[in-house]
Amino acid sequence: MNQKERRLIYIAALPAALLGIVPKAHAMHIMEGYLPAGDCIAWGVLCIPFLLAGFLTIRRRLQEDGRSITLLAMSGAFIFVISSLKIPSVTGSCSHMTGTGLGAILLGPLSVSILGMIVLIFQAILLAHGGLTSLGANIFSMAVAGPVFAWLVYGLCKKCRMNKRFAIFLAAALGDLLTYCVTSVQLGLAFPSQEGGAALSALKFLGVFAPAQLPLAVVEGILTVLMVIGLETYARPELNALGYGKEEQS
Amino acid sequence: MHKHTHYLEGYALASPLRHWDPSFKAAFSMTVLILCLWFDSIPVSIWIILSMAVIAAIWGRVKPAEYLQLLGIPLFFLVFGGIALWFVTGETETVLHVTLRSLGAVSAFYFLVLSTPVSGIVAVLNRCHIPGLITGLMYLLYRYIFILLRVWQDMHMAARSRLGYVDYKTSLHTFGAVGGNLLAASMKRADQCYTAMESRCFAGEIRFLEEHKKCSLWQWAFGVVYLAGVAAVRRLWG
Repeated sequence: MNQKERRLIYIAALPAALLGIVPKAHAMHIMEGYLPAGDCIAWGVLCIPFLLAGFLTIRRRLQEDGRSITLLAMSGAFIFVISSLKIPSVTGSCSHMTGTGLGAILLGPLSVSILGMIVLIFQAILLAHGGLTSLGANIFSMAVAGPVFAWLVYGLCKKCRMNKRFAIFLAAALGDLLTYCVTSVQLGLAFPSQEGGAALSALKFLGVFAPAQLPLAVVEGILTVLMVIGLETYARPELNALGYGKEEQS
Repeated sequence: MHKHTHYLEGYALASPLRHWDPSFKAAFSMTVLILCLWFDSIPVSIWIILSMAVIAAIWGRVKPAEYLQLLGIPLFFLVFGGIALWFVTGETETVLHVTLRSLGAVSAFYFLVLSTPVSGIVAVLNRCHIPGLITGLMYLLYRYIFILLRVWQDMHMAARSRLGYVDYKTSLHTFGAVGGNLLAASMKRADQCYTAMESRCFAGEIRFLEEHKKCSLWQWAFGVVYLAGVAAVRRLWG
């Protein structure tokens, strides 16, 4: 463990220590049947342009190099496995990463939309997390909004010549936070409160989930950085094959 | 979680309903799911939950205790979500309504999932003219999940036997290191996999031998009677 890693881990332990526990939480899947029919369709339609762009990107990538298909599938499986593993937590309660930030940084936001969709389908089929009718809403929050935002943050940080590890941390943590904000808005729109409408109830959902999600976002950011450090140490060529860190070499 | 992954798929492989036409099962399950959402009524949801449980027990040969356990996975999410919803809306009726609707939808979906292996579901998507690129990617991704899980299990155990999860600080570090290593290992596998595929004449599309299963008359009859039953419950009790 080098100095930098050690410092990171201390920072990671801080929010957990402050709260005493990492509360019981899971990636923000909306359950099957939770949203009214209209919402399901609307969110699904909203995802279509992103999925289409993702499809075209992947197709172009495969035309350039057929070998990418196993790479893409493996990265998707990696996101699935990472997001279904329990994050270490103090009390042994269970919480998961979303893996969206990592995917966006490694593969770019467009390819992640398609892989994220497939991962979400398999989470529904194999693990009963999320569902088919809420697929559109879940794709939008976890495979579109989160990764795109994480990628933007990462790009912006790089432009400002910020420390790269800090940039990765920010991107993953903020991507995770945005996912949770979008989910709250989705729930708020589906269950508007009588006095204040959808906005008020979205705010309330944000408030209810915040104690669980805020420390989780920090932990997600730290773990993403640790993973990228691990990757840079053990798997440089593979990382370059994915397209990560190309610009530094050239 | 590793247990659960095997669970749902394991039931599908052992189910007597496996030999039904997957397209029929998918269409039936989706219709019931959509009806559950569309009718949006407590009696219909309860009817779907109960009838699907009976179908799973009798035709699917899933033991009732195990079926309850399977329903327990989403139930955990639903209880958590229900509490949040109750905090926000403050209406107990809405919470009950949504929770039952969601359980009904999950039950309808379980009919498909507990009787159809993933290969069947991918075949249905193929028949729906989903681009071969996506179904191919789905199939590979699905296979790789299990490869990665096995590798992860080994790494996890190796790290654990070396006290890698002894306290919170160490376990965070271990989690990150195992995660990074896992991707490195998986990329190597991906490369080997592609070489293996290429040496078997892979040219961009994965083709499978598909068994064409025919729907028998009584399966159609069952589908129609069931849907009529749902409509009847809706008419009688709202």
